[in-house]
Amino acid sequence: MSIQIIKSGICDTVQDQGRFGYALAGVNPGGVADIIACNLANALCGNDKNAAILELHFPASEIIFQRTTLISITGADFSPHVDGFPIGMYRPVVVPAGSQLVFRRRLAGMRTYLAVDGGIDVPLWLGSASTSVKAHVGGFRGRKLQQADMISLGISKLRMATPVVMQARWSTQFNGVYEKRVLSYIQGPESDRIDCNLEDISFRLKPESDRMALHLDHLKIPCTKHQMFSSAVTSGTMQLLPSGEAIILMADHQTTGGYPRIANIISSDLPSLAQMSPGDTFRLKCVTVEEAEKSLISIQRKLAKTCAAVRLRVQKDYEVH
Amino acid sequence: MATHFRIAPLGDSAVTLQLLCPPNSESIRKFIRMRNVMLGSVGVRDIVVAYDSITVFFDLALLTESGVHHAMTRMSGLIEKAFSDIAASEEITIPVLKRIPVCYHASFGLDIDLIAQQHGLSHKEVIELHYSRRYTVFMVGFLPGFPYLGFVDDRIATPRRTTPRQVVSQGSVGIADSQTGIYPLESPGGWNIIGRTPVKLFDPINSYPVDILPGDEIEFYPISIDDFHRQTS
Repeated sequence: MSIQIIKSGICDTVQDQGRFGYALAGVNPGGVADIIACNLANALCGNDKNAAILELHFPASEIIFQRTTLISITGADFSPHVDGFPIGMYRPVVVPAGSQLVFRRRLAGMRTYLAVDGGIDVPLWLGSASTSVKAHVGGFRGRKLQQADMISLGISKLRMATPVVMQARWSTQFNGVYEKRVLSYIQGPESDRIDCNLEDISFRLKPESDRMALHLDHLKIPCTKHQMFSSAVTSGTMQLLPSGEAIILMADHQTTGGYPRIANIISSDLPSLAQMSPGDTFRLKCVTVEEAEKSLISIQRKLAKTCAAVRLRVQKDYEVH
Repeated sequence: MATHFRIAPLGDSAVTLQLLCPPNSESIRKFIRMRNVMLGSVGVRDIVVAYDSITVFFDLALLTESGVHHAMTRMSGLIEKAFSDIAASEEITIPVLKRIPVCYHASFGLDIDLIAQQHGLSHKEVIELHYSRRYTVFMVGFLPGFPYLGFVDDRIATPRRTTPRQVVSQGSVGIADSQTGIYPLESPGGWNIIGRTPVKLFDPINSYPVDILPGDEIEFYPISIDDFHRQTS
């Protein structure tokens, strides 16, 4: 049983938590840009956090469901409608066989997540369902989704069929992670190559920002030395380009880079970054590793607790035992 | 091996150890041995070795669950201990030598002329200088399976093209400054292309998709264009 893409989106891919253990070979982790939205979406369908989901940008794919499907939509608000009716985000929604999902307009955020009960079913590559577009492998045939694609869904445990869309009256929320406009960072290994204070600068997202990196507009940052041997980078690494402009690496970053790493956005601020749109502005605040760890542990605990509670409730309300 | 290094965080979920001296074939192989030792440790998610640095990526949630309260401190200690253990060890790694066929025919060696002109050499000299030495793989990055080899003879070291090409063919062998490398996939690229190899450096069908890794030693050998076509058919 599958879902079918009726109309292509601009950049829609199958993703999961990413592919680890092969960075030595230049295989980058990939995975979802917004891990909080992803984990919540999966929990709202009764899935484990590792289940594969769809990450959609705007304009997004139009999708038909071949079977009754329990879905959930999290992350950016692209005004989702099923068979003409608006559906709520951050809640379990049962859609009938043959129903069609469209995203009408981009109201907030940058990427939305669609999870389905049973998960998206694609062959794993190196243990992960994430798509590597550059290497043409992983996810759905190693590429973005296109019109006429039929994507298999995992086995359904739903104990209901319905002729109409059924939305839960409750929804889950996760406050304190999005829409931050002051992002915390840890000094990068090449922080000593810049004289200015990053906290004094206002950054604006440029339109060419994508899953690989956020391109930024700001007062040029002078650098005492550009040359270095290439070394490892990660999501959140801020690199200083020879032009004096900075970029922040995102989910599709390569494993290594040759530009000075002048800051690393802390992990718990990555979901905010993932949902920033071109034109959005932000500032930076330097923190210690300890502060970053504390923040991450707190968010992870809260997320795990929320997901566990949601998953249990969804399994109880919707699934065959 | 030099004892001078520095350890720095790379964000909150990775730590990097960087040598304070230029890398060489011995240092990169010691990094590989450090990696082999550390991969099994609790919380270690991945390890990257590149030129003068080794970086350990870790899972903060897992470490916290296993009772570690200051993950960065713990992982910094892990990497420092691995470094001193390996430095103190008398064990020697025999490098794996891999020989790679390259066709330097003019139709593949798009920038041989540019390099020759820049350095006042003949095409033949450029080609010979390229394949007449053994290289060390210092890093595999940018694309899955793209090896960065060091270091080419000064007489052919050439900066990247000012305007990268939109399309560089799979298998292209190039030079960028004092590095030489191979494009495992078709891709945009700024390296100076001097030939092409029929060898597949990246194959997703294999359980480990890349054959050439940091620490390996590489020798190129020239093949004719007929041999090239025979090997790719």
